[in-house]
Amino acid sequence: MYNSILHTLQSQQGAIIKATEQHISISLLSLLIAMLIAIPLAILLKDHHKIAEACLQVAGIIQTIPSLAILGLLIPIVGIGTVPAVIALVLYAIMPMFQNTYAGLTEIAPNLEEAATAFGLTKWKKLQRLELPLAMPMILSGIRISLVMIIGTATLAALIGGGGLGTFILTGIQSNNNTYVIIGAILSAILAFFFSWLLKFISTNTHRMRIGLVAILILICGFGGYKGYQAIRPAPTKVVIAGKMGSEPDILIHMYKDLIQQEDPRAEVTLKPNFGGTTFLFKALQSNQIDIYPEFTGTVNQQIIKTNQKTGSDPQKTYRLAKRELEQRYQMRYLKPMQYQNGYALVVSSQFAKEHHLTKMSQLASYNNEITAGFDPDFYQLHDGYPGLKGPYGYDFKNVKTMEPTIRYKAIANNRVNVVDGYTTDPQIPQYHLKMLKDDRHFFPPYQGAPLMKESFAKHNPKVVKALNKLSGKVTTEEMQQMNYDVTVKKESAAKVAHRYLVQHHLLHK
Amino acid sequence: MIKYDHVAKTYTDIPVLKDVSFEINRGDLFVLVGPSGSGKTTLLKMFNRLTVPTDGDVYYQGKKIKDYDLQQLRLKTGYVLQESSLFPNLNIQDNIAIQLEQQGVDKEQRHHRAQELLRAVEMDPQIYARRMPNELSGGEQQRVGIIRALAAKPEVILMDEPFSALDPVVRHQLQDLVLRLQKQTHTTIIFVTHDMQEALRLGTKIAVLKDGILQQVGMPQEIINRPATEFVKEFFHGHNFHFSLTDILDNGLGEKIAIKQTDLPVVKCRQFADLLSYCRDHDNPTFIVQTDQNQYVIHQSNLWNYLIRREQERV
Repeated sequence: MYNSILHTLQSQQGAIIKATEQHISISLLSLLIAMLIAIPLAILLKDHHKIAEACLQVAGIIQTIPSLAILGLLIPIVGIGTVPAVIALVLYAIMPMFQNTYAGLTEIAPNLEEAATAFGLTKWKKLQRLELPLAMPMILSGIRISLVMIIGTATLAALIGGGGLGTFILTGIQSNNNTYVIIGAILSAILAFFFSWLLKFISTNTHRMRIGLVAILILICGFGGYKGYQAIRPAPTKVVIAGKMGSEPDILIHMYKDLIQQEDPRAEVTLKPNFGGTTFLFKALQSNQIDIYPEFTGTVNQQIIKTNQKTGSDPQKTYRLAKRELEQRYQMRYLKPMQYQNGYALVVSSQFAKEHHLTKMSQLASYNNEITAGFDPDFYQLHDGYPGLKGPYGYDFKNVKTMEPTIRYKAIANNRVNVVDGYTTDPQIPQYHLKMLKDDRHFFPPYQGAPLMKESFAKHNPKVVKALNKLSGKVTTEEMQQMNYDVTVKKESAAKVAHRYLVQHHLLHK
Repeated sequence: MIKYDHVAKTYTDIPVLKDVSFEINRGDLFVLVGPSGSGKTTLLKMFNRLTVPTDGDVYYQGKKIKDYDLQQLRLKTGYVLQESSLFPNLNIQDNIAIQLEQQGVDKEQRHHRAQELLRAVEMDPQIYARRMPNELSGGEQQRVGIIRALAAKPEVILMDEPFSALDPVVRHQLQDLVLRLQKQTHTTIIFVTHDMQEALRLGTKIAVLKDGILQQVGMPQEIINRPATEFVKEFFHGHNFHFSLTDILDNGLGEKIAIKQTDLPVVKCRQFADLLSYCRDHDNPTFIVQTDQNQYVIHQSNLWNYLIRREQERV
């Protein structure tokens, strides 16, 4: 475990640093906005107890809404990405700061307030010389509570494509990779500790506090200036490429990036790996949140255009159907697919295969009574899955369990089941020495990956289209399996694996 | 200079002041005295409009208080509260100069003024100017509270039971300080207290209040010699012959000594009665009285002479 963490830290260094930076910038931005709302509000309301109480109630109610729900509610309003994440975090952070500031200001001894009033101090002077300094410890502790909470909650930003350390946790959960989960969790904990300590350190004396304030101001000005500079600079081609969960989409989008940048060196390509599921990504594409994502032909037919029938077994036909429907219904351009097929497959343990000399799926029906299968819930229900297999192959397995995709490989590796469904490019197949059976009756629909984008985007960016078309017909199933293996099991970074492939196959001149 | 004209105040239908009228002359140390709940603080706070009368008016230099610009009025009025109420986050000199700061006086002048005032009350600016309030004793804090009220050279200073939380010795010292400062600056002071001894000691004029009704206004002797009501008579009864132990000892009866002289008997005294009961039971011509603060050598004969002299003065 320790070694795999070290290895991942090394191979994913760039991604980790980037995610940490993202995490910090989302957190600090949210904190800053929340401070600018909560503290002045508390100052304004300190003499209006009823309104302040009402505000506290509202803030308290917001606090009780699960963060996941807030994120969900925000998607239809502001879309996905950093903006809804920051909004949700701000909503959360307001309460502790408002409450503490308000309490700090209202708990000042009445005789001091009376003295200040009797001396003829203006409201501003009173605030500056008496109230704020006395409330400062409370305010700072409110800020600290908020900050720690924000850094923790910011991990959820990954769910809606906001990036940050949550991406690692999420990827780890999805791909059953504890190393990622641990790295994400530990880093966010360290961040929380560090910033909490830093605030405490700064707040222990006024001198440090002044230095701290100046440093924060400089940072904000610098950041604002940088953003401003970016805004006025002539805009280069900006391309946002997203991918689904897992290593394979991650490798593919890195390939896209390399190819696009070779074609147009000024292009600014942003990658959003592990961005979400099919429906989510497709909606993101429709609403221009992203420009490109790799999609499979079979998935298009089953989940997007919903043909509601078993997909044909001819890859060409499948692609043409998907392309035509996407064009007509959604004005999207579906580029030519790569060679490999990432379709369903039935996988058996090598021991079971040896015992019965299994190589083809048609052989399996003879052992119906010996089979305990572990299937993904989708596979168990879809026309393209187990129900469809029963006819052509005559399957009627003795025992069929549904289990989460990540668990079924563990189950077969530990001999809990002897048949599972899988994808042809799954790295676990070589990892656990499993045997993939040949679909000798051509039942499974072809799932070929190809870049999907809006027609309007394709028209405006011919260079991008040209770059991506270079992948058409490339990458075999074995090559993809190997690359997945390199990323998931050997913990190499997707960027490195993608780059290596492109160079080896002379798609990239570097 | 200041005139309360048929002033009344009710809080949620309960009258706390009823038809109070009196005048304060320039340079007066005007004491408002009465038991708690008599409305004296309410009267005081009407001057700087911390409270507003429900009826009647307060005039200052012929103009209604309510017609003054509130901030200007308060900036030019000193205020001393019951507790010192120094701002705990500011050092002593910033505390003293807070009104000057609001007036826009520059920092150097403010600190100069603060240090000048500290010297005037025997607090070395080198030591005290940069200290924080919690590093000072209660008496020192209230001393600063008093000079803070003087910083802006106000014409009127309001003092709301400033010494009630202090022990008798410190209270005595600070009373002296107020008398001295008032003599030097000729500032008009309105002073609220529930302690008639303090009222008699400080007041050039005293107003006695009870249950929101003004009982009598007059010089201390008038109040004692010709009490206007039964309450005033009761209130001040015997108090002119009330002996404060430290008072008597400091006023020359005793001889303060630094080191304990072992051959003389030592008597611990907290009040004057302790001293008298010792003399009743013992015949030693000379002994040492030990109070919380000091030790004094006492000759019994001096004590009796002193008492006889005081009694003769009274009659």
